Amino acid sequence: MKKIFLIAFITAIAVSCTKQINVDLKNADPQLVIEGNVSNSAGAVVNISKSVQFGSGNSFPAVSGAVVSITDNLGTSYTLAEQSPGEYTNDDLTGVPGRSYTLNVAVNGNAYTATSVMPKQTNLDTLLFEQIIFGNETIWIVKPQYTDPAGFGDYYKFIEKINGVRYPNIWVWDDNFTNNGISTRPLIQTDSTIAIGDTIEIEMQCIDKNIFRYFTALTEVQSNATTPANPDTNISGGVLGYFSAHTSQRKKAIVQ
Amino acid sequence: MQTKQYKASILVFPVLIFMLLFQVAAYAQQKFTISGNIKDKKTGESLIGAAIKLQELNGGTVTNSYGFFSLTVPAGNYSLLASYVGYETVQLNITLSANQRLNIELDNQAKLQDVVVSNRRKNDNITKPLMGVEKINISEINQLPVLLGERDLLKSIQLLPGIKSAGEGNSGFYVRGGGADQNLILLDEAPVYNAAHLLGFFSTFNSDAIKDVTLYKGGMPAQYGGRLSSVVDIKMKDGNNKDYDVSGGLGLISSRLNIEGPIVKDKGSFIISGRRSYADMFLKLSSDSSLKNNRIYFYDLNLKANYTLGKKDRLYLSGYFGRDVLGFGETFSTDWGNKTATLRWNHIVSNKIFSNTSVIYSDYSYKIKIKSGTDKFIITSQIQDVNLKQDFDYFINNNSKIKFGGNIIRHNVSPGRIEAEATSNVKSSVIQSRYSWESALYGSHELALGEKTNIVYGLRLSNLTATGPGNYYQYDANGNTIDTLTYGSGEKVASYWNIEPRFSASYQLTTQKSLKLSYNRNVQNLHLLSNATSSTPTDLWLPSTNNVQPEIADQFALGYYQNSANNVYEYSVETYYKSLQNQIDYRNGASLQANDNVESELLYGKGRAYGIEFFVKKKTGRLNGWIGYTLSKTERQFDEINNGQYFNARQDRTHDLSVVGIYKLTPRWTLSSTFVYSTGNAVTFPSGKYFVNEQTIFLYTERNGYRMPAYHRLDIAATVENKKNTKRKYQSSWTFGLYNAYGRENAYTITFKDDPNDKTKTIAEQTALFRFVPSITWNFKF
Repeated sequence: MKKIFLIAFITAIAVSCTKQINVDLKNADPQLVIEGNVSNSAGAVVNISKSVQFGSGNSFPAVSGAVVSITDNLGTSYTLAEQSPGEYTNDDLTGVPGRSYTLNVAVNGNAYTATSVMPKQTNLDTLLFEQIIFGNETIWIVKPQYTDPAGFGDYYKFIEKINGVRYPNIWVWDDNFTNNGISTRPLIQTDSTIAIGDTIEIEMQCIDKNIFRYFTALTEVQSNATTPANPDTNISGGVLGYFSAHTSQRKKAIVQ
Repeated sequence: MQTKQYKASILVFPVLIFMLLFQVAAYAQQKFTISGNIKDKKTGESLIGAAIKLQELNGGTVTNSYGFFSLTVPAGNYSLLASYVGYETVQLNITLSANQRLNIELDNQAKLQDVVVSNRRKNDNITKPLMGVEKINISEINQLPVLLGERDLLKSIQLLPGIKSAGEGNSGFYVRGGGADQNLILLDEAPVYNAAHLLGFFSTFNSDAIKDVTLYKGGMPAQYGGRLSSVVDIKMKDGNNKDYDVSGGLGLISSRLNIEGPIVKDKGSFIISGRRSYADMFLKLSSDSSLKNNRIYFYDLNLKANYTLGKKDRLYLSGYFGRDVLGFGETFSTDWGNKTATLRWNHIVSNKIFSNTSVIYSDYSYKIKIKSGTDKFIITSQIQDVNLKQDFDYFINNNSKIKFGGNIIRHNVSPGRIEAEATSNVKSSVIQSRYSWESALYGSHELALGEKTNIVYGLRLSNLTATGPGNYYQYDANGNTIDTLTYGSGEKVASYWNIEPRFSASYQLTTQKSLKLSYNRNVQNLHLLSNATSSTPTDLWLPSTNNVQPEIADQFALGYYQNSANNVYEYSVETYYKSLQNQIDYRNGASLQANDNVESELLYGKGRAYGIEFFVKKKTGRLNGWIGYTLSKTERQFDEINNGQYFNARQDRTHDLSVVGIYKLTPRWTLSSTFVYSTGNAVTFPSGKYFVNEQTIFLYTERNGYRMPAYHRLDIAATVENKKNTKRKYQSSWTFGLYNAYGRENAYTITFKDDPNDKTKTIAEQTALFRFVPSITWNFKF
């Protein structure tokens, strides 16, 4: 919101100037990053990597040799095998909404653990498209339609692919504005490049509260918040990242 | 811990009572009272802080905020001097053998040779016990160079030591390490909650309508309360009660028009002052049709009327209405602004007791309208205050003066309401309102102890009571709701009592040198929830509740003051230490808007701030101005942030320098210039990066562990007036300005992102806002 106001003002008087600079940044020691996902459609994937210095390239060292397992609340345990360096998977693990899942990772003599509850699935009914005027441009936006169930506390995450290419930003919502009714809240992207004829694929995830907070904080960090901080992870043991058990549903449509 | 602090404060009570008794006992000799008003001869405008002195005696007094004075002295013959900066001093010979009423009119010399920089009596700064007080003249503000030529008293204030700008071109400010929300900004006693237009680039105050501005950054008098850091007390003009005046100006950003005149000559007057920006009119000229449909403007209107009823009573009604409007075509529009209204009744109870009764209304609201396809909804939020206030000034004698009074405020905060049309997918809903009573009783006594020592001591007893109706929640340490408590209408939810001692003293070493010290405790019961750096329209104020405790600040200050060359030069050094309790910050990923559980997102911690301020000022002459330098430190500590370690607050700027010069080149030309330098804000930058969610994510290791680059800027302006002709009423002037004259690219933001040209790398990008911004303003008066 604040950005919108700022953009409006700056355009109005047209006096800003932006340039690339060098900032002398401290170099934090490499930290372990665990990103784990269990869904009700695609099996389980856990990626383990390490952080790098700001000045390095965007390639992040994979961490091999970890022992990774996921256990559900019924006591069934699944071991995830290292598919490629740093990527641990188990295709047999198909999550069930309502169950809780516990991740255990052992690596370099340290143990990390996290629990996430897979929420009930809210059905993604259809994708709508609309043209809006935003600032100086007319842009296309996508509106996923679904029916939010009664009661507050439903959380959603949306991932978009345009012609098969993932749009970098994601959207995470609670149901404060849309509780108990049909939602067609738009996925607003101010730098939208969507054009007629494009194929849009939307993945809708129902996520738990911890994951909602994690991604809300993550989007704030990415939008250069005034006091950025690492999002609070739900994984114990001192690590970056998250472990999410969520539902997943995809829909494709052509913009016309 | 808290009870211990109260104990110390309670000790002040017996001392106060003892001193009052002492006063009465010393009161035996036959004495009489001279009282009255001091006004401007041409306009009838009452003069605030004009000095009255009897040459035969030490001491004297100054007029209060309504131009009233009272002086009680032994019978005899006196030579009375009434003076005010920029005005001809009046000398009267009086024989005092009975109580006497005296209304004095002073003539504004308007001798432009003497562009006088503030201050009242010539060595008030030495003799008065108050410290940490800054006054700025409106005529002086009008001469300083400013962004886009838009005169701005809140930006001019930032040039004083101890007061720091919230950012480039921003009217928000930090006082001695406090937050921008810890300043109480009063316009004719009404608090202005969001004193900014257009994201803080302009303040809401139109200097045409303003008579007097006083800023208290320490040693706060007991009649003020409710914020931790400072009080900016702004008084609107009463309006000319002798003749009609029309004045105004055309500038790049806005135009102003001011009309004032008598309702009944010498008895009552009015003033109407308006301002509107017109950046949007340029947009309309654009050939780009989508740009054409955008709206961005603000306006404000100041209104005031007063009427004198007989010899003892005067009524004032003043109001302010301001609004910003911003919109993109039909899709999105928002407007926000303040409304205030003050009704006041001045009553002279006796020749020694002056009373003022006020009813004050203050309101800040914003509205966001969204229309997208079938979705149509409006989000509104509002804070509304009604305040009943009573103040007494009791002028005991020329060495002793008491102020006492009290007030009670009803706060009504409506954090958010969504009204949606039936076709919208967004549902109509209401975040429950919060209600509270905030009240205070105060008393303070200004006393001369002998010829060299002056003290002011006082107490303020304040209370905040949060009441129903509504649900209040209890949260565990992680912010999860553990209990919901439902209260009925008017039922007490939480109540906080606080005793706020205020003390300051001055000791005159010589007539030109003095030492002062002060201690004051301030309590704040309204908390601004905002995680943005600058003021935003969606600012949300929350009163103290069962979860949110009152914020408390204790400040100690010590100062040395010296004048030289017949009070032409003024030097001062002030040092302060401030400790802050119950400060507020936010959990990671906090959502502050439209959140019924917003209190679960808050973290509570403490703060400390200390520093030393140096100030040199040349008050008169063709060249005048000042240099202010502050060396300071401001830190915060929260258990949940930065591993519980103290970290630099964002506004912690080690060095802060301002240089202001005004030079009268010829009788018609005035040149002015300001230079500012400050250490960059403390900021949080990444110390690494990692990969999650198919994105590069930056890694942070500490809060505010980095610095923005140092900020510095030079602004210049020149004002030319038309030829002086005392017979002609019409006057006009042109002001030419250049903001950021040497084009320093001051970093407004530094952002980090993937290199758009090479996704395998990350880069840092700096945005600078204003370089070489010229301006031209035309002002007129007839």
